[in-house]
Amino acid sequence: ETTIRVGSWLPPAHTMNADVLPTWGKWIEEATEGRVKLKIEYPGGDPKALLDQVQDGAYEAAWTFHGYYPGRFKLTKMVELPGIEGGAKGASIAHWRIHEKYLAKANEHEGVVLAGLFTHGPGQIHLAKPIEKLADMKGKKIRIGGGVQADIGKAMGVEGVAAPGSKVYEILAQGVADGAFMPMGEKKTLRLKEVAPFSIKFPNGMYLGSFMIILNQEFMDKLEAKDREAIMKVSGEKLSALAGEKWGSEAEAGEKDALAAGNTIKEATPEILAEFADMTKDFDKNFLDSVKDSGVDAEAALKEMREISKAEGSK
Amino acid sequence: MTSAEHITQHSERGLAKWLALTLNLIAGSALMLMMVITCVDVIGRYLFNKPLVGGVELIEVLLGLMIFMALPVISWRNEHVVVDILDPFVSPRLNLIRTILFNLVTAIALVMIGQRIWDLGARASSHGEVTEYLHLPVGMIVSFFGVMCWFTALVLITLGIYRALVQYRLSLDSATKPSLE
Amino acid sequence: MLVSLVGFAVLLLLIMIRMPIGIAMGLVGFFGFAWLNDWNWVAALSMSARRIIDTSRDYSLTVIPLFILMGNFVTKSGLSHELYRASYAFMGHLRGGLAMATVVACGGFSAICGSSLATAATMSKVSMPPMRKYGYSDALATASIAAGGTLGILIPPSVILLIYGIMTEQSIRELFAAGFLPGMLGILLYVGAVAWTVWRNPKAGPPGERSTGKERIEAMKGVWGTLLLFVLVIGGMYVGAFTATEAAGIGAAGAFLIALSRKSITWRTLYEVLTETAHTSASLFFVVIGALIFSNFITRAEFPDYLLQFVQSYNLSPMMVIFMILGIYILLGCILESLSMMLLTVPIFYPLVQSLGFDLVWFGILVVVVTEISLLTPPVGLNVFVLSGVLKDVKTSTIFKGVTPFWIADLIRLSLLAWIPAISLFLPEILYR
Ligand code: NA
Ligand code: NA
Repeated sequence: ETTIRVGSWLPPAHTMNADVLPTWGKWIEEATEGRVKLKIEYPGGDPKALLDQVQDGAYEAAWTFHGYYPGRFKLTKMVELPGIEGGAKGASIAHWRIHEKYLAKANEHEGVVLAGLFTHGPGQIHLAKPIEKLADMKGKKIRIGGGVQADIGKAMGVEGVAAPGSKVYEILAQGVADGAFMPMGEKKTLRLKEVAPFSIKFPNGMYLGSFMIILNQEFMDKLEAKDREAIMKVSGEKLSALAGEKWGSEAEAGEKDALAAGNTIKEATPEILAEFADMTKDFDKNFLDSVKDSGVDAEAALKEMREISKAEGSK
Repeated sequence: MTSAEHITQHSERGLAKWLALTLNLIAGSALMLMMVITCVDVIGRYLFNKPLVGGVELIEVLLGLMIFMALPVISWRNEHVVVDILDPFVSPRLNLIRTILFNLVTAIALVMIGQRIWDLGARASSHGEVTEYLHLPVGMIVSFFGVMCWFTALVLITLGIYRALVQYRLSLDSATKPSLE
Repeated sequence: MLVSLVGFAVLLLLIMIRMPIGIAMGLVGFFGFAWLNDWNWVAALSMSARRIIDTSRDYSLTVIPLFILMGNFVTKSGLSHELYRASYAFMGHLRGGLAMATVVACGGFSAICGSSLATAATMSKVSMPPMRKYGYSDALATASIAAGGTLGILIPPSVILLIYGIMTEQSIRELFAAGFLPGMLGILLYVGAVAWTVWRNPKAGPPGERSTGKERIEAMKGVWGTLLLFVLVIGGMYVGAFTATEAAGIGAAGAFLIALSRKSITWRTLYEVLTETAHTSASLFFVVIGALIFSNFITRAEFPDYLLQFVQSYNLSPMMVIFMILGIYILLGCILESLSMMLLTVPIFYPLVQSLGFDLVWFGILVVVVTEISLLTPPVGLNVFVLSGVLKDVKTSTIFKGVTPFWIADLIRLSLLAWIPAISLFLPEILYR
């Protein structure tokens, strides 16, 4: 009997630890007839350390955020671009399929076995005080994570505040930041509803956030072929879809919870959408320029990704 | 003068003295800069509504610089946090043997871990990792930590052991003479 | 289970023979992790290496050097004298008043300084001569300094609380807010311990001269700068103007300016303060790194799970578990000093305490108070050693004897804090929760 120890983070009650990883574990156990099990371990500390640690075998598996490694993961930014319809589930399925068809050959995940790709729920604006139009964002201090949200922040002219996700509540409570870019789920999980009671909701979000689920190469090589295949069968698109679906529901639950707490969630007006479209009009082009040398037909991939995501998300 | 200062004076001359001075100056300047950048950031935010972009990244680099510049000096001077409950029962000779032994063990550990840190730095470099705002090369910063681990191993088995010998000699002297001072 | 017990035994042995704590914890954590990982050396090295890399460039940890820097600037600027003078002006005429003034001045000094040892060492130079002049017994005089000095790690900022917060991923701000009232309670109870001592033996602390109103105002003038700094830094953090890191940066800069304005900073002292701070911080970082590597091993060994099972199988009530843990701390306090005690035990106990449903901020305050007690318990009472080091002519046993009432005051405080969590949690609740 073998155990996959998954290095994880975020609180144990978060859907990733309460639903996604346990379900994946159940699938693996069933598929391998009980020969391989899964156990969640919380090492604490910086989640960006997990990629190295899975590569070197300190954990058999882990999940982490592509945006923690600026400069390395350029192609995975594709799924974060504005204008991807279909929510977390659709985007996660599209993320995986496009990776298999186009992006895998650039080998950005070199050194580890990729088990799944997913995105969090649509990224929205959360503020301590309401605004009327996007132009009012200029000069505000906004906590921004890595990836495409950083580009959006620059385009809006906000002052980016860097802080790990776990500190967002604190810096908002202290007025160090006026707001944050985050999915709706964090209204609940990070208690943003208390410190940023005003949100602007874009129908597809302003951006998405790209995550990976990875396995150690040597661990997989050492497994019997049938177990290896069994694990991969319950990973890949199946796992990506599961993760996307759960993160999507987390976003919906967060929204409901925030509304119940008396938060104001304002749907983006046509004016706001037009402002946003204008701010981000060069994003596709800039992205395609940044991955010119990757040897991947990124333009076709992006087009196809949008189609798949929209189709899968509406199912 | 405390006995530690006394031993420092007797064991650090010439090269060792200048090395300590240089490392301390760099570590101290990094610390001072951390303080200044933090203040500029806060003042900028409150008075001019303009925080310092990338200030956090700079401070992170300075923190690493301060720690790894101080590491060689605190290691050879044996300024690490220790439990010295049994010290009164340890003879100078045993203390000498112990210090040499621990210095060797620590040096070996630092060589091994330094190698791994260096490798992780090289890995980050090969993937082109940079910091988010200032685009500083992550791999180079990490590799520097590895180099400083090796350097610390080197000073532990040279200056560290020399210092232990000086301490041993002084303790023998003080056993025959009435007082150190 | 076996692996973790072996690991813990080896660790205790190594630190007892004076291996640096950080190295010992790192080595045991490394080998233990490799053992539980089928002797995969690369995995264990990678785990340890990432701990070193990430801890050394973690923005939130800059609070450690910056708060230490603030304390060192304040120490260099001769502030301790003025704090003592101010406390003396108000309390000196009481029986035992100088010792009470010492406790209060220690509390004030520790409000800025993050370290108990520094508080005790600094205040001993200031308050010992006047107490001797007025005929105080050495036992009471030194004990009030040793005990007052322990307040340094409870009244914020506190290096020990910082490190506890890092180990348990708790908000530094909430911990600092939680330490305030228990610190005040500590001052109150220590003043009570002085009163009790002089009530038993009036010769131990004869009254000094009464200060005039004018003298009191004069004395207050010397400390307003420091009070302002405290209000700015701690108050600014409490009301949410800055993060802990920013408060530390502002505090260090403010202390630097105070020192400059008193002309107590030269290039040479600046070099000394910066070097000393860098060295102290770096040695703390390596202890923290070692403890984090060790905690990776403890997690992998599932030791907290075993502890929880043990507790459940004996049907112990949660509060009973807390008192057992505190008992273990008091025992450990006989042989260890504060930082090593906390680093060794917190990775083991905090998951258990958390799973029993207790508040980790409250538990942090308990740990710090029990750690303070360890600074006064024989045979290894570090604050007592510092004093007998600074005052060569006072015997350690004299100080230990004088410390007994303070030690009892601490036990009373510990029980109060354990039974009434609100004393610790009141401020964090109204400020942040
Ligand atoms: Na303090
Ligand atoms: Na003790």
